[in-house]
Amino acid sequence: MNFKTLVDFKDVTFSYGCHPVLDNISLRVRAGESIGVTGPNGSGKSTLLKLILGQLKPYRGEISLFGIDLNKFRDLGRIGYVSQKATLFNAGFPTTVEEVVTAGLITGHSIFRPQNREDRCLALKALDEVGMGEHRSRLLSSLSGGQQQRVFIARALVRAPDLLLLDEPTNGLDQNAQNQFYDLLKRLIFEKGLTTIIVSHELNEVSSVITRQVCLDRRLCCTCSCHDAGQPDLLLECQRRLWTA
Amino acid sequence: MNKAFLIGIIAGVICPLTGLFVVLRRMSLIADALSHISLAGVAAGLLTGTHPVLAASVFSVASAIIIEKLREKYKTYSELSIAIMLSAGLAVAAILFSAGRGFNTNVFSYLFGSIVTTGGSDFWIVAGIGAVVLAFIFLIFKELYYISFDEEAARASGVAVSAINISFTILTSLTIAVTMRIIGVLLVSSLMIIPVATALQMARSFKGALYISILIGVFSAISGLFVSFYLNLAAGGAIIMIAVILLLGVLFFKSLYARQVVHHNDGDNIRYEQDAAL
Repeated sequence: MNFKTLVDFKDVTFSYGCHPVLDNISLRVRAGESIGVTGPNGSGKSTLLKLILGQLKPYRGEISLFGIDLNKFRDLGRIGYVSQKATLFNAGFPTTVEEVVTAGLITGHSIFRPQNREDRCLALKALDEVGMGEHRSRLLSSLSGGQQQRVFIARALVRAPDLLLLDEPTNGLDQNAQNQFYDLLKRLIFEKGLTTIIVSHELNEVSSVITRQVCLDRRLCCTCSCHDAGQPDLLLECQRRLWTA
Repeated sequence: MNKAFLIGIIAGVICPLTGLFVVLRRMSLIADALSHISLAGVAAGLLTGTHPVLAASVFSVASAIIIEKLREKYKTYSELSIAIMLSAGLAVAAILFSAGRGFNTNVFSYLFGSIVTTGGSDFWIVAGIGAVVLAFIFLIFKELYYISFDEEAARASGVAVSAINISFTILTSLTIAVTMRIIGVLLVSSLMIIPVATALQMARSFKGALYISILIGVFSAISGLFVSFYLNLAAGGAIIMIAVILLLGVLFFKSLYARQVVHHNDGDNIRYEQDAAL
C-alpha cells in the first residue's frame, strides 16, 4: 500500500465573519487511514470537510490534497462525499436509485458530455457493491433511510475515489440501520483500500471502522491511533470534558 | 393558423421542460416574476417601436441576472429577490402602458394570448429562441438534474453550480418571453407548472416525469388552440384550462385507484381472518 499523504492541513485557521470556527489546525491524513472526527456541535467538524472540498477558503494556513495545493487542485473526481443532508432530499423528487447513482459520475469536466452505457454499467456495479442492485429501478423516496444511505454511498463510490468523506452519515437512522451501515462501510474500506474521513457526533458510532481518532473543538484537542492501548480512554475523557464544558 | 400550431408545439415542449426544474427546485414564483417583467418589456417595445418579443426577451434576461445577484445578497430569504423583481416588473409595465395610451388595445392579446397575432417575424423569433433553449437545456441536462436533486453534492463534485444556475434562469426568462405571445403573460407560468404537477402524480423516474410533462404540454397546446380557433376564445385560457382538466382527471383516477387498492387489501385481510378463524 502507498502511504503518501492525501490531506495535509498546516496551521489552518477559518472563521465565519468574526466567529472563529477552526483555529490553527494541523492534520495529516495518509493513504489507507480511516479517520474519525468527533466533537460537540459547532466544533468545526463539517467545516473541516468543506475546507477539504474547496467550498470554503482558509483564513490562514495551507491545505494540500494529494500533494497539490488546494487552490490548484482540480481533480475532485478523486474525492467521494456523502453529505449530512443527503437523506433529507425532497421526498417528492421523482428519481430512481439508478439515476441518483449515475449522477455521481458528473464532475466539472463532464459538462456537455451525454451519459452513456458505460456510465450505466458503472452505476449498476456500484449499486451491486452496496447490495442495492435489485432496487435500481425503484423510486428513491420509496426506500428506507438505511437503504437510501447505501444508495448515497454508491453515488460517492461510483467514480472509484481515493478519498471518501462522510459527514454524520448515520444521522436519523435507527441503531440497527446504523450497525448495518458501518458493517458495509468497514467491508468497502477493506476491499477498496479507501482512505476515509468520517465526521460524527459520537465516538462509539464510528469506533468500529476507524484507525485513528481526532477530537475537535475549534482546536485539535487530541488525536490518537485506535490501536494504541489506553489511547481511546484518553479520547473518551477528552470528549467527556468537551461535552460537559 | 399553421404557424400558431407550430408555436403552440414549441411552447408545449419548452415550457414544461424548464418548468420541471423550476418546480423541483421550489422556484415556481420565478416564472410569475419573469412573466410580469416580460410584460414591461412588451410595453417598452410598443412604446419605442422595437419588436415586443425581442424587447421582452431583453427585459427578462436582464431581470434574471438581477434576480440571481439579489439572491446572493438575500441568502436566507432568497425568495425575496423574486418578489422584488415581480413588483418592479409590474410597476414598470403599468407606467409604460399608461405612458403609451395609444397601444392599450393590444394589451389583452399579450395578457391572455392570441393565435391571430403569431404570424410573420413572430414565428421565426419564437422558433429560433425556442431551438436555442431546447439545445442548451439538452447540453446541461444532467448538471441541472444533479443541482436540482442535491446542490451540495453537485458543488462537491466540481459542477459549476453558480454558472449553471444563472444560465438556467436566463433560459427560463427566454422561454417565458417567447411563449407569452400565444399563451399570454398572465398564463405562461401555468404552462410551466401544471403539466409538471400532473406528471409528478404519475412518474416513476426523473426522465419519466420529463416525458410525461412534455406530452401533456404539447397535447394541451394543440387541443387548446383547436378550441380557441373554433370557439373564438383566448388561446392561453383554452390551453391552460385543458391542462387543468387533465390534472384534475389524473388526481381523480389516482384517488379512485388508491381506494380500490385499500378495498382490495381490506378484502384480503377479511379473508385471511376468516381462514384463521376456521
